Amino acid sequence: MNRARPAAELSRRIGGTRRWILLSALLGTVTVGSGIALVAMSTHLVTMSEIYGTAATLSLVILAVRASAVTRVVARYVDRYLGHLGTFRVLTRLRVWTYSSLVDAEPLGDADHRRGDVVAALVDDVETMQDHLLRVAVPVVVTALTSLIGAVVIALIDPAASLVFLGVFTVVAVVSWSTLRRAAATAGRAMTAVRAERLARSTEELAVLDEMIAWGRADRLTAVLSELDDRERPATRRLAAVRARADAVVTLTTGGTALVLAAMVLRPPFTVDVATWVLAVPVLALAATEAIGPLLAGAERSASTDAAAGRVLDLVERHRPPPRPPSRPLATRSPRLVLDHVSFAFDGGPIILEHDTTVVEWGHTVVVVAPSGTGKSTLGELLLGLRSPTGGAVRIDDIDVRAIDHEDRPTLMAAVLQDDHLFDTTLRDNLLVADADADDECLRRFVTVAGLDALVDERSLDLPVGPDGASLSGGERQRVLLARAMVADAPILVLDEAGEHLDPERRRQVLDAVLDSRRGRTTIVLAHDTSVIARADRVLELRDGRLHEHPRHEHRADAGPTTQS
Amino acid sequence: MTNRRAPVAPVTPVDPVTAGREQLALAAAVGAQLVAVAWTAVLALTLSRAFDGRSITVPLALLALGLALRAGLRTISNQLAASVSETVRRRTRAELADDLVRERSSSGADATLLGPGIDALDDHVCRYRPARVTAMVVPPVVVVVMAVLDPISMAILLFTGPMLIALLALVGARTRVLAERRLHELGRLRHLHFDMVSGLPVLRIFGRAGDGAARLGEASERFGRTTMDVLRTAFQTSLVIEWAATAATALVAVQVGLRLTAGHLGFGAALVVLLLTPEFFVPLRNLAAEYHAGQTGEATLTALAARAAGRTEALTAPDRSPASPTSSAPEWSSPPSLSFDAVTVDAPGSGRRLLTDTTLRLHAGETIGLIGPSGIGKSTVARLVLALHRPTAGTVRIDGEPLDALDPEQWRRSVTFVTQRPCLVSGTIADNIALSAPTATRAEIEHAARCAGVDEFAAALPLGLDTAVGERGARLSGGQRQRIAIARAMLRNAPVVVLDEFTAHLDPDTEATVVAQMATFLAGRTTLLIAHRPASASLATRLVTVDDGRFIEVGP
Repeated sequence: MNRARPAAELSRRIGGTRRWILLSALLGTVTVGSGIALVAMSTHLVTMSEIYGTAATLSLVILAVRASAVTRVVARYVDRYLGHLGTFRVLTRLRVWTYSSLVDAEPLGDADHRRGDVVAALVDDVETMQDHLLRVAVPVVVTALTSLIGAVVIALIDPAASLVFLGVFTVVAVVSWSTLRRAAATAGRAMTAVRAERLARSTEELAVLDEMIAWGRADRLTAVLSELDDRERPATRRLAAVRARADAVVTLTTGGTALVLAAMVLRPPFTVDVATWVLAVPVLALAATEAIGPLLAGAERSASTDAAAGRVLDLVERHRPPPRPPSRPLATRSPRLVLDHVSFAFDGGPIILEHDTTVVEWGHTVVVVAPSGTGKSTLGELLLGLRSPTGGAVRIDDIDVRAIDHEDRPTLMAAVLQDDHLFDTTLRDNLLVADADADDECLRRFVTVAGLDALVDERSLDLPVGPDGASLSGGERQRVLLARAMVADAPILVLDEAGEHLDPERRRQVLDAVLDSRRGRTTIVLAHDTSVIARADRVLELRDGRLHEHPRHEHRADAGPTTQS
Repeated sequence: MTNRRAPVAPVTPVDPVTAGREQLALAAAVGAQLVAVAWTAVLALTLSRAFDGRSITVPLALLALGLALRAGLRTISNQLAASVSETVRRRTRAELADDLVRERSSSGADATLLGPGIDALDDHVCRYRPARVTAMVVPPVVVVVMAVLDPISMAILLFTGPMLIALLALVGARTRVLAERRLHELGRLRHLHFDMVSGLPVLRIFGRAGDGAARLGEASERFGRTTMDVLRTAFQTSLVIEWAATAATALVAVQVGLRLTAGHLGFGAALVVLLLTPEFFVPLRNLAAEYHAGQTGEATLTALAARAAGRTEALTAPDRSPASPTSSAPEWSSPPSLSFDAVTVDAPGSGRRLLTDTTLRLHAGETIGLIGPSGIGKSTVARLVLALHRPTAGTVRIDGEPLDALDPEQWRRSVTFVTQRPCLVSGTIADNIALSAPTATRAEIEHAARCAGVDEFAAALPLGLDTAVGERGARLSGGQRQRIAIARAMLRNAPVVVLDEFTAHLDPDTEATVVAQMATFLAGRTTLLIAHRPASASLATRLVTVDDGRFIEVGP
C-alpha cells in the first residue's frame, strides 16, 4: 500500500472525493481569476482615462470592471459553500466506512483507552481530514491554474515578463511547498498523536475520576495533562515556526514577484498601445500570486492531515478481521452446536484453549463451570463467533459459526457477555437492540422474567439507563442485560456470568425463570460456581484448556434433553 | 450554553509577561499591516513615476526594504502569538482539570472541552485576536490618508466601512450561539461514537452493526449540518464584506477614472486611491475569514467562563468546602465509630429517595454487612462514607463528629475500599495495586497481591506484576480485575473499610481464600460490607438491610 501520502490514499479508498476537489478548485480559480481581471481592468481604466481623457471609450472597460467584481464575489461564496457541503458528505462517508471496517474485527482491547483511541480516530482524525480536501488538495490546483491564467494575461502584455513570472513563481511555490511540508511532517505527526492521546486518556481518566478522587489520586488527571502538554510543546513550537516561515515566504513571494516584474516592464518610454496595460503588470502579479497563501498554509496542514489519515488507516489495518469461510444459510432452526478441536491463544500468548470435540445437542441446557481466568469468557466469544479460534472451529450443525449467513445471524444467537454494554438511551431502546420489531407487551414479558417488573412499573420503559447503564444499580443493570438477551428469542443463548451482582436467592430465581422460558432451546451457561447446575442437562468443567464432564453429572451426559416440551 | 454575556474576556488572568507578549504580538501584527498600506501607496507612486518616465530604482529599493520589514514584523507577531497561545492553553487546561475534579465530572463532553475545545484557543489567540485588532486600527488610518488625497473616495469608504463593522458585530452574536451549539454537538458525537464502539460486540451478536453505522452516519451528518450553520453565517458575512469591498473598489475605479478624464484629479493620487481602496477592506476581510475560528474559541471561553463562575461559587459557598476544618488532620490510633444519624438520601442522578430519616451505627472495629435486593441504595450508602455523596438531610458522623466538618481529602485517606465495578487504569498490574498507596514498597505491593490472589494468575504472565493491563497478552478476566482491586484495597492501611460486593466474579475456591485473608485484614478496622454472597457476608458481625427507606437489622 502506498503510505507516502496517507491522506490521498484514504480519500482514494473511500472514493468520490475527486469531483468535490475539482469543483471547489474550479470555483476557487474563477474567484482568483476574476480578482486578477478586476485589478487589471481597474488599472487599465485609470491609465486609459489619463491618456485618452474621454469617457466614451471607457464604458466597455467599466462594464468589465463591474462584471469581474460580481463574478468574484459570487464564485467565492459558491465555492466555499459547496466545498464545505461536499466535504461534510465525504467525512460522514469516511466515518461510516471506518466504523464498518471495525464491525467484523476481533473484539477490541479491554482497556478504556483503546476504545478512546478508536473514538479519537473516528471523530477527530476524520474531522481533520476536512483540511485535506479544503486546505491541502484544493489550493494546489487553484494555485496551478491561477498562476497559469496570470501568466497568459501577462504574456499578452509582455511575453518575457510572463516567462519570468511563471519561472520565479513556480520555483518559489514548488520549493517552499515541499520544504515546508517536509519541515512540518514530523511535528505534525507528533502533534496529531499527542492530541489523540490526550482525548483518549482524558476520556479514560474522567471515566474513573470518581474512584480516583476517593483514593485521593485526582492529581492523576492533572499529571496526565501536564505530561501531554510537555510532549506536545516541541511539536507545536516547530509547527508555529513553520507557519511563521510560510507566512514570511508568502509576503516576500507576492511582493517580490510584483517588484521583479515592475523592474522588468517599467522601462519608459512606453508606446501608447502598451502603456495602458503595462502599469497593470505588477498589480496583476500581486493578484495572481494571491493563491500562494492558502497553498503554503496547506503545506503545513498536510502534515496533520497525513498523520490523521495514517491513524485511521492504521486502525482499519490493525482491526482487519481474519479471513472467514464463505457465508452459508442455515438448514434447520434446531441446530446442534459442535466444538470441533477448538484451540485458542492470544497473539504470542500461552494456549488458553485446546479442546478435542464436544457436541451440544439441540434443546440442552449446558452449564460450563470454570474458575475465573481460565478462558471462560474467551470460550463464550468463540461460541458466538466474535473471535476466531487459532485452530479448529465452532460449528452450528455443519457450518462454521463465523460463516453463518448474515440473514440468519441475528435470529440465531443471543448472549449476555461478561463485559456487556448498555447503550446510553432508554430501557426500551436497549431492549429493542435485540429485536427491533418487538412490541411493548413482548418487552414487558421478558422484563418480568428478568425480575425487573417493579422497576419498570415504577419508572416505565422510557427510563434512561445512563452511559453503559450507570444510572442503574449493579443488579438492575444485570437484569436488563438478561431481559435484552431474551427479547431476541434466539434458538441459542449464551450467558456469561449472567447472575453476577445478584444475591444467591435472587440469582437462582432469575436464572430459574430464564431457563424455564428457554425450554426446548439451547442455552449455554458459563459460570464460575456450581450454583445453577441443578437445572442443567449437562455440566462441563473447563480445566487446563479442555472441557471435561463434571463428575457429579457424568451419568446424565447422554441422557438427552430432559426439558424438551 | 446558558451563559451568554457579551464578549467574553479571557477566562485566564494571564501573567504580566504573557500579557506583555500578547500586546507586542498584536502591535507587530498591526505594524505589519500598516507597512502593507504604506507599501501599496509607494507602489502606486512608483507606477505613476514610471508612467511619467522617471527612474524608479530608488522606489523599488524602498519597496524591497518595506517587504523585508513587513515579513519581519509578521514573523515576530506570529512567533510571539504562538508562545502566548501555548501558555494560555497550558494554563487553561490545568485550571479546567481542577474544575473537573471539583465537579467530579465524568462526562465525555468535558473530554472534548479539555482536548479540541482548548486546542481551538490556538486559532483564537494566533489568528482571530490579531485580525480583530488590525481591523480596528488599520481601516481608520487608510481613511485618513484618503481624506488627504481624495475626499470623494474617502466618502465611499466611510459609507461602507462602519456598516460592515456593525454587520460583523451583529452576526457575531448569532455565530457564537451556533459555535457553542457546535462544540456541544461535537461532545455528543464523541459520546455516541464511544457508546457505539463499546457496544460493538452487542451489535454484532444481535446483527445490528448496520444500525450502529447508520446512527453514526446520521449523527455525523447532523454535526456537519450544525457546522454548516456556523459556516454559512461566516460565509454570508464574508460574502457581504467581499461584495462591499469589490463594489467599492469598482466604484472608486470608475469614479476616479471619470474624474481623471475630467481633469479633476492627478494621475499619481488617482493610482494611490485606486490601490489603497482594497487595503481598506483587507483587514475586514481577514477578520471575516477568521471569524469562524474566533467564534469556536469564544464558545470554548464561554464554556470555561461558566465553570469559572462555579469555581468562585465553590470558594464562597460555605456548604461546599469544609465549613470549619476543625479537625485538620484526624489521625486515628484506633478505628473510629461511624454513624448515619437520621439521614435522608436521594439517589444521585435520578433523585429517587433511598433512605428516609433513618439511623445506623457502626461501632469502632465492627464489620456490618449491608444486604438486600438491587436498587435499594446499598452502593449509595458506600458513597456517603467516601464523602462522594451527601445526605439530603441528617449527618454522617465519625467518632461523633460530622463528616462535613472534616476535610474530605484528608478523611478519604483514612478509608480503603473496593467499589462495585472497580476501575483499572492504564499501567502495569503493580501500578494499579499501588494506586491506593503511591509510596508503598515493592514488598508491600507483592504482599497485597498475594493476599488477594493476584499472584496466582500474575505468575503465569511473562512480566508478572509488571505486565501492562489491557494489552493483548494480558487480557484480564472479570475475576482477575476484581482481585487487583482487592489487593489495591488491602495495600492501604486505613482504619475504615468499605467493601461493595468485593467477591464479585470470583470462583468459590478463590473467594474462600480471599475472604479468609480479608478477615485478617479487617481485624481492628471499622467496616461497611455490602454483600450478596454468603461467604463474604460471613465476615460481618451484624447484618442490616434497608426496608421502606429504613435500616433494619436482619440478624447476626
